[in-house]
Amino acid sequence: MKSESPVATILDPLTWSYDWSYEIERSILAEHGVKLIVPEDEEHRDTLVARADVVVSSSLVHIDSRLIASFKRCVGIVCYSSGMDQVDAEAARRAGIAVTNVQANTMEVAEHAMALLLALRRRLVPMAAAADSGEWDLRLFPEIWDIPRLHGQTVGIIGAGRVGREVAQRARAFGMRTVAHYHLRPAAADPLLPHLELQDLMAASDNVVVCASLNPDSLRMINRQTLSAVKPGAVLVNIARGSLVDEEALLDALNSGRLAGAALDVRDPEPPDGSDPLSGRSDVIQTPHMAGASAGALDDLHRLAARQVIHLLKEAGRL
Amino acid sequence: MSIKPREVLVTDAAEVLAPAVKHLEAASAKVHVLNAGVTPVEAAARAARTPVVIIGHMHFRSTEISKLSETGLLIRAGIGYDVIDVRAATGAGIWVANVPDFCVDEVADHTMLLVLSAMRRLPESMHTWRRQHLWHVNATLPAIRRLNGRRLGIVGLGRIGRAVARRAAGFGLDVVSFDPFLPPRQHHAVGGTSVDLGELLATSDIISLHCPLTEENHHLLDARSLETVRRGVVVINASRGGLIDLDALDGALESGVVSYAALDVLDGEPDPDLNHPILSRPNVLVTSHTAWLSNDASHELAINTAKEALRYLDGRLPRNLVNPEARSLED
Repeated sequence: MKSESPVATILDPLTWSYDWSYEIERSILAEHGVKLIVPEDEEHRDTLVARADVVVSSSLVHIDSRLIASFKRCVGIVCYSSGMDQVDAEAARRAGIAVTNVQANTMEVAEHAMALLLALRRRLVPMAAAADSGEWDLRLFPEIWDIPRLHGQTVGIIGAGRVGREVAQRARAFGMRTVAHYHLRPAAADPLLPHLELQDLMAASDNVVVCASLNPDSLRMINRQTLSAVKPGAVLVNIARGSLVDEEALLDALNSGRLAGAALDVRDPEPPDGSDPLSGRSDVIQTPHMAGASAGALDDLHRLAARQVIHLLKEAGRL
Repeated sequence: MSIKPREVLVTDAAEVLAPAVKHLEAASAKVHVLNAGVTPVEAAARAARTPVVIIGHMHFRSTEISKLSETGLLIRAGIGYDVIDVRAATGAGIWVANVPDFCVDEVADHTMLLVLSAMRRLPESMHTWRRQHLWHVNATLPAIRRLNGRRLGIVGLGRIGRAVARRAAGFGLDVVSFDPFLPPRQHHAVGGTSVDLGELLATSDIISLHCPLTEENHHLLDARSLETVRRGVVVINASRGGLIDLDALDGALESGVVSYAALDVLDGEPDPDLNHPILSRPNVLVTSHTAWLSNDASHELAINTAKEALRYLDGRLPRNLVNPEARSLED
C-alpha cells in the first residue's frame, strides 16, 4: 500500500539545544516523499508514534518493550547518536523493528578523548590558572611540575570500535603503545592494537580510555574489581557512557591515589547530582557530554539521520 | 693549551639545574650557584674567571659578555639561545652551546594540547559545568570545530616542528610547513608539504610557530602579516613570545580574523605584561612557558647540560655549539 506517504516522527524532540531544528531532515525527507512530523506535546506524540513508519530517538526517552508495543506501523528506529542503549534491543528485535545509529561524530569523539587525555596528563587546568594568577614564574606552582613523558607510555582502549580505533591511531602518533579490550574480536588481529583481557589491560595501561558501547554486559565494567588491577598512577578517560563506570569505585580509586586522575565527558546520572563529589576535584576534568559536538558534526547528524530514515523505509519496502 | 680550572658557574634556574650540579660535582668539578635575584651584570662579574658558565633564563648581552675574561663556553640550559648575544660571544672568542634535545616530545605534546583545546574550546567547555552548572555547551557549539581534514601550517620544521607534524598526521590533518633551511623532501618525510610563508599564512586553518627567535623573524605575526591569514584562523605559539606582536594579535582577535589563540610564550619574557588585554579574552588560552615540562625532560635538561660542560672541561669538543667558529679546541 503506497497511497499514503510514509511518516517519520521524532519521539523526543530536543528543544533546549543550540539552534536545533529539523529543517535539514524535513527537506531531505520531502525530496523522497517522506513526511516528518514533530510532536507538539506528549498526547500528540502518542498518536504520532502509533502511526509512524520510522521513529527517531534523541535518547531522552527510554524505548522499552511497552513503548515499542505502541509502535503500530514502525519498521525502524533511528538513534541520533552512536550509542543505541536507550532502546530495548531484544524487544525491538521481537517486534521486527530495525534499530540503527548515526555516526556523525567519530572524529570529534576521538579528538575530544585525546584533548582530555593530554589536558589531564599535562595539567592544563592548574597551568591555565597559574597563567591567570598574575605570576609567570613556574617555580611558584609546584602543582604543575609532576608531568610524565607520554612517549613510551601505554594507552589501553576499552571497546575498540570505530571511536576506539581512531583514539588508538592518535595515541600512537604520540609514540604511545596501544592495547585494547575488544567487545567483538576482529577476524584478523591488529598487531598495533592487540587484545588483552580487561584485568590485564588495566594492569598494563598508563592511560585507560573507555570507548565501549553500553549494554547489559558492559554496565559498570569499570568497577572495584577492574580498578583494583589498575597500574598505580594511571589515569582514566571516559567519553562513552557514564554507567560503564561505577562512580563510587572511581572515587575511591582517586582518593587512595591509585588513580592519578580522571577525565569524564559522561556521567551517571547526567547531569551529576548537586552534591557531586567528582566534579569539584583538582584531579578530575569534567566536560558536559560534548565529546561528539562540533558545528560540522551537527550538520552531519541531521543529514545522516534523514538518510537512515530513507534507508530503513526502502529496506522495508515502504519506499 | 692552558690548564683550565675545573669550575662551572650557574647563573640562575638553580632548582631545575640541581641534578646538573650533582652530576658535575660527582665528576669532581667545582660548581658555583648564584642566588636568585642576582643581576646579569653581577652574575657576569662573578663568572669572569670561570671556564664554563651555565645560563638558565638570564640575559647575557655584550656588557655582560665583555666581563668574561677567562670563560670559554656559555651554555644556555634550554633550546632557544636568544637571551645570549651570540655575536658578542663570538667576537670575544667564547663558544655558545644550547641543549636542544631534552623536551622535543613534551613541546610537541603541549602544542597538540593547545591545538585541541582551541578547536574544542576545552577551557570554556569545562567552565560551563564547573562554574555555571550548565550541562551543555550551547553557547560555544558554533565555535567548536572538527580537527580532522583541516590544514595545519607549521612554521619551522626543526626537531619540534617535525614531532608536531607526526602527531598531526595521526589526526588526519593536512600538514604544510615553511622552513627556509630545509629541502622540500624533508618536509615530505614527515608527511607534510613544503610551502612558502605567504601560502602557509593564507591557507592554514591553524598556524603553529616552531622556529627560533632571530632578528629577522621578530614579530613574524604582526598587523601586516595578520592581514594575509585565512579568516577565523587559530594561532598557536609554543616557541618564543617575540615571534608575535601581541597588540596586533589582540586586534585580529577583536575583528574575528583570528578565532582563537593558544600561547605558551609571551613577548617580553621573563617578565611579560600580564595585564595585557589579550589575556582576558575568552578565546585566548595561555600557559606560562610550560610546554617543555615533564619529569623526564627536566632531568634530561640538567644531565645533558652537565655533560656538555664536562666535555669542555675534559678538553673535548662540545656537542651543540651554535658558534663553532668562535674558537678552536686548542685555544
